[in-house]
Amino acid sequence: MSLAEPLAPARLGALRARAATPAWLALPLIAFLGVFYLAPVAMMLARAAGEGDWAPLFAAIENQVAQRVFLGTLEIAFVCTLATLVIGYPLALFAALAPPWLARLAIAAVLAPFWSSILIRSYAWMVLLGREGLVNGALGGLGLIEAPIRMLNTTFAVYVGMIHIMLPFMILPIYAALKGIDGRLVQAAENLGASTASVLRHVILPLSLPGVAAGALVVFVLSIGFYVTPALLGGPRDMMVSMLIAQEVDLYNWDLASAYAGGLLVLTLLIVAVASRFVDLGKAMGGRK
Amino acid sequence: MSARALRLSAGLPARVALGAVALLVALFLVFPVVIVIPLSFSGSEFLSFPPESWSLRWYADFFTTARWLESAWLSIWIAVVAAILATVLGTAAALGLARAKFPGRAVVTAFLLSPLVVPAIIVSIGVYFFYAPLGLVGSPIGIAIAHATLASPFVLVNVTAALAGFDPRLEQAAKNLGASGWSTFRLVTFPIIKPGVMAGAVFAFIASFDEMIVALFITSPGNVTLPIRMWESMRNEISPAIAAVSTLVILLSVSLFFVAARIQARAVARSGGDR
Amino acid sequence: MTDPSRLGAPVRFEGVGKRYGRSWAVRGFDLEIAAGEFVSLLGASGSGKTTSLMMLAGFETPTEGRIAVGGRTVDAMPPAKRDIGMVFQSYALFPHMTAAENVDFPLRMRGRPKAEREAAVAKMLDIVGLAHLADRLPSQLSGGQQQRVALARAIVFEPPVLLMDEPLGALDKHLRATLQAEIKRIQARLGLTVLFVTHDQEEALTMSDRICVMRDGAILQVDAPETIYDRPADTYVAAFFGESNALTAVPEGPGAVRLGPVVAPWPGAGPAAGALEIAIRPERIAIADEDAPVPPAHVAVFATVRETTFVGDRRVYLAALDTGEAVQVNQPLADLSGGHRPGERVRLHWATTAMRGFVDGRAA
Repeated sequence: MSLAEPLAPARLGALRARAATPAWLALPLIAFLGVFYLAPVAMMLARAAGEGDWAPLFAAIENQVAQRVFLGTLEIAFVCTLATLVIGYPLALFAALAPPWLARLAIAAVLAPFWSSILIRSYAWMVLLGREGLVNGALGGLGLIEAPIRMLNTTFAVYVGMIHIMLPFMILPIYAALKGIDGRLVQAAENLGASTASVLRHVILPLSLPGVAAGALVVFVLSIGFYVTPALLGGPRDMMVSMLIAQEVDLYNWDLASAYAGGLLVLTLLIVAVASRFVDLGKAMGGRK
Repeated sequence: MSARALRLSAGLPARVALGAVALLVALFLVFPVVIVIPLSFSGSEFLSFPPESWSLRWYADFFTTARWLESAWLSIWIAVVAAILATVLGTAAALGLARAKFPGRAVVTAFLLSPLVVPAIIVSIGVYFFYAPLGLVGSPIGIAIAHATLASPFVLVNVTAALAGFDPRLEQAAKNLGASGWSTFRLVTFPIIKPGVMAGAVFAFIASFDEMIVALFITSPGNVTLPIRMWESMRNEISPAIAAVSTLVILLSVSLFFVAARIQARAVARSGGDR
Repeated sequence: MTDPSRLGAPVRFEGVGKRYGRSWAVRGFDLEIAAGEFVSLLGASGSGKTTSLMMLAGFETPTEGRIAVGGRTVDAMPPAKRDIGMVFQSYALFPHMTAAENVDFPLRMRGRPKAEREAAVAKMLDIVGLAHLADRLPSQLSGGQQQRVALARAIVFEPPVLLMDEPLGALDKHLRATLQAEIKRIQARLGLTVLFVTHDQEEALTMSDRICVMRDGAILQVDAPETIYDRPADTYVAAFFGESNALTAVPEGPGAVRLGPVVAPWPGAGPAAGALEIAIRPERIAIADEDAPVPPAHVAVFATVRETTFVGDRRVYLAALDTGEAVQVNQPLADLSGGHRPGERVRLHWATTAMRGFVDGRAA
């Protein structure tokens, strides 16, 4: 009886707390990144423009090797995204359904790769996939193969290494999305006669899609820029854009390297810009904690 | 609370299957991380698993080789400077962006977070062009500054997350009780967001300590960071020496993560756990 | 009411208004609070009561008008300089400081010497009965204990004015009653001027010297609890406090109104034409047998009982007048016997002074 009238929505402003910290605090970082990050990238782009005739850029676009490398890079990124999704989703689902202690263990396994750097993990795969490596040893020991298989310096090795490095970026957002699902929805579906498969397909999967989208975006974008892993694990045919750029730098073709780098930058930003209409990028990157 | 934890009344075979797949994926994730540890104690020149004999020779090698030690100290020094720069600037920026509303805020935030997604090789070339005329190529401080730009988003993300759980009424209460703006920050805001700041600092340190590509472009023969040294060594031979260095690096990262987790756990305990 | 030896200072709002974008959260707010007075701001969510409080505390800047404390205009003063105690909604206790550290905070900010601070904190924790919990963190205290820490923190630096924003909202009913009494006791002892925001009419009635009823950013009525209850300024206030019957009457010459078949004396002027809404509290209506005598100066009407409900200390009747209008009657129970049954013809009567008339919603 004391709340005699409905809420008047216009007055919520009164409850909004005033900012105690002023916005100008962001200026030092903006200035720092402006000078030491934005300006360098702009200089690199200017280099790609040549003497105003965009000659390096046209040379880059017409280069058939470069075309193949760009397409190959997109293919690798796409396969990595798909593979991490297929491999990662079951673990995310398992962790979301498991009792807390088991879920903690599963998430610890997902976070374990962050304990070591990309360089060290790539090195570990060099050791595992080598001719005398553990994988060949195990397969030989089981009698599955007669002679060691060549795995190092192949596309397969690149995929294994990259998928290993990218898996946490796929699993964590999916896990977060799954944990956000209200379990009563599953109960309701089961009560209404849905089988386990139907619940997965019609309730859990659709509700976890924001996490899948966030994970896919991050994995795809980060995969495009890979350098260390393909350089260490791949063969000559597994060149990615970053390696192409480094190769031109080694040959002191700074203009062409800048043009390729400009292309890679535009590609990256384009993907992020298009995807960010569907995905909260800040949240997706925040999943790395 | 009203929401209920996710539960699925699946049959036993389905559950076993899911558990088995999850276990395989977990092993795939963990195995390459831990495999370098036994390898580092190998007694032989060549890599084999399990090692044929055990020794500490690769550790002895590391601690008695000047170029390894110099690189390690250089990397630590650079990472400390980069982490301090990134933490101070990133924390201030997170505070500035947290509750302020101004036009273009989304664009500014996207710009500040962009080092997370822009490929390192792009930044590397730009930084080389930028540093060359300034004479910063080959200088440790130059590498530290470049690393700070790449590491600052980690601080921004972590402090922003900490601020999201921060009740702005606490700041109002402090002011109402007579605290100045600075006292409010020092005595109320900072102690409460400190776990986020520390986590951001740890991420920033590790991001710099592990960074290789940008460093590779602006390094000089006299200033070779640890990842570059490892990279060069890896491209020549696969020797257990790298495994020993890797183990030490992993040890450092794990201890830092552990410290950050402890700080966070203590903060959670103080603020009343799951309340 | 004021005792110069005590803490309280008068507060004055003069034509204060606050606009967000194009809508006014508060407008034309005029209120004078005497030193040592306990005034409640009462209203539904969005009525502007919290905004008014925040303007006095300095967290919102008035769009127009002026606010003075102890005769000095405070509008240009930052919150930290206002010396106004405040108990926040859900307390805003610093989670990383103990109860004692929380209470010490305002003294520390004022640079008081350490010995003096320690003594003041100990004394204040003693007053609120928490001396034994001084070293606990807020998360280790119950809701009621947290509330006491918040109160201690808000008054330890002896502010002349204390603001409380729904300070008891999060507590259960029993604890509320205990703390209401405690707050009143401390306020009376220190002579504090209190501005208390609540949406609970019962809380406002029991605690306040005066109640300021707000709606849509404007003040409807400022009066003592008894006056507010007995002589509400309009039908909204009448409905906000307790229950009320509304009957339609028409003027019947000077000094009289017609209520269905009966003509009742009407002391007020009454409207020249049109209907008059008569409000009568259910507990002011007596219910009697059809042929029972009517006391002098009472208005009596016939009615039929429709429903009866037993509510412990009283019996509630819903009766239909012969005009078809429904009337609620609350009959206090001297004993549990008797009572009228549904369908029974009864006579309802009430003192002419129990009637309140409203024209277009405003008191007539």
